[in-house]
Amino acid sequence: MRMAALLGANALMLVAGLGMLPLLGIARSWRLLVFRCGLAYLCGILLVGIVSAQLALVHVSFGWIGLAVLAALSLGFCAWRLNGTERPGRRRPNWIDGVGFAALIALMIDYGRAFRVAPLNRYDAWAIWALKGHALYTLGWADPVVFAGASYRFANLDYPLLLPSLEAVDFRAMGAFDTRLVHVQFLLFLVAALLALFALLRDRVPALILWLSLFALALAPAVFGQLLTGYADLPLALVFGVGTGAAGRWVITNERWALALATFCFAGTLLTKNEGSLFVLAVFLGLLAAAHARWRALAVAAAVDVLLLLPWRIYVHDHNLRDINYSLGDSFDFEHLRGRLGV
Amino acid sequence: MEGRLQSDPRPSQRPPVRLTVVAAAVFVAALAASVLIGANEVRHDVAQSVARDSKLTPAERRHAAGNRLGFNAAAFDAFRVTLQPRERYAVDVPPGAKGPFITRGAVVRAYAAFYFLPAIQVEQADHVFRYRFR
Repeated sequence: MRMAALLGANALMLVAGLGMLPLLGIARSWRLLVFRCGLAYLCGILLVGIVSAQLALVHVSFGWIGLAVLAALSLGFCAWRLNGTERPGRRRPNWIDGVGFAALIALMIDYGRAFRVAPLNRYDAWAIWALKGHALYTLGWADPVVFAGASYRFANLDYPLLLPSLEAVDFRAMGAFDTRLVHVQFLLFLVAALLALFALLRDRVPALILWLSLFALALAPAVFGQLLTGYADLPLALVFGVGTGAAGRWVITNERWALALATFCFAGTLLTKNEGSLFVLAVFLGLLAAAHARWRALAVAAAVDVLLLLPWRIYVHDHNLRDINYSLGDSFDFEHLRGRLGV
Repeated sequence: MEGRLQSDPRPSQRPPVRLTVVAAAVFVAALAASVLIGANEVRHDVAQSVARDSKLTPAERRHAAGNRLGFNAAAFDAFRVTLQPRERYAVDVPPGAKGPFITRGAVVRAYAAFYFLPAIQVEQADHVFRYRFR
């Protein structure tokens, strides 16, 4: 029953993500919506994560009702925006894609056997992410009694709330703080990222190379092992990876939707872990170097990301939360780097 | 090339990156090898995880983190039943040995904060969880 609830909540995230495709300019017709619908799931997860994380700061909890409203609004917007546009035509199915999808489904079902029984026993998973997800679920919002409490300083309180908010949405959907099934959400992150990469690159990369690359990622033992820990590092890497892929596509093709998608993924990166700020800054600097003539578009993209991060930074500032492990400045501090690298 | 594909998903006439046949073959072979090696290794990891974790009892699962750290689960359970949601409690624990990042005492405080939610850990309270290392 709880598994069905978790999957149901994720189905609503997928529907919510469909509306993001016309909004971001990824799909300007029904035909393109079908062609790029693989991006919908990751966009939906990020949308729900970003919205619920922002609402958690203003005492609004996000559960079934929030998911249903977001999905309904999304579907309505999608239908309105794409009304009268080109319909998808009949395409001969690509056999490589068919084999790829069948193998991917089989692999995810196999992985699912491990994720649905995994115990929550790794330090960061319970001490940071699940603790915050549980607190959001039981307290209903980012109550400073926990999220700025002196006794909870060990939980990296200045880390943003996208992942705990997503876990809290799952707990509300399941009606329980389920330390076992929460791992399935991490597997679904991988599914969403693989589908997104497929949709993002399918018209730029030969099918064989694309599928081999996706399976190289999905079958990497470190990806399986890290996802199973329930840490935020792999979700961060997956979201950032899709964003970087979209940014690369924008550099080559100058498609505005690719930059919009990158911007959205970078917002997700920034709201997942503080380390994301270094990655996103590095990509923006790289983009500026590679496409300096298009600096205005980049400035708008950066402004949107800063704007989406701003409510959390205000919360951090208001409650005087200090980073105990990482800050962007550390990346440029020689002594810190030397200590971390064990030099 | 700029703006060429603003909304056209059809493949371009010429790929932006061209590889020689040899380079393409090496690249595909490397990818295929990576997939095969990964699949072989991860197959064992999945089987091992399923075999190990599917046998956990509800109590072992509830205390998975504490058991991994070697804590006395009964002490945590006994205190938890005395707590109400949002009730304030404090933790009295000696610092203990220093670990790679924090002391064992700090880990007990962290685990208590996790395990006793939705009760709220504070620095001073009438209700105190006392924990001693064996």
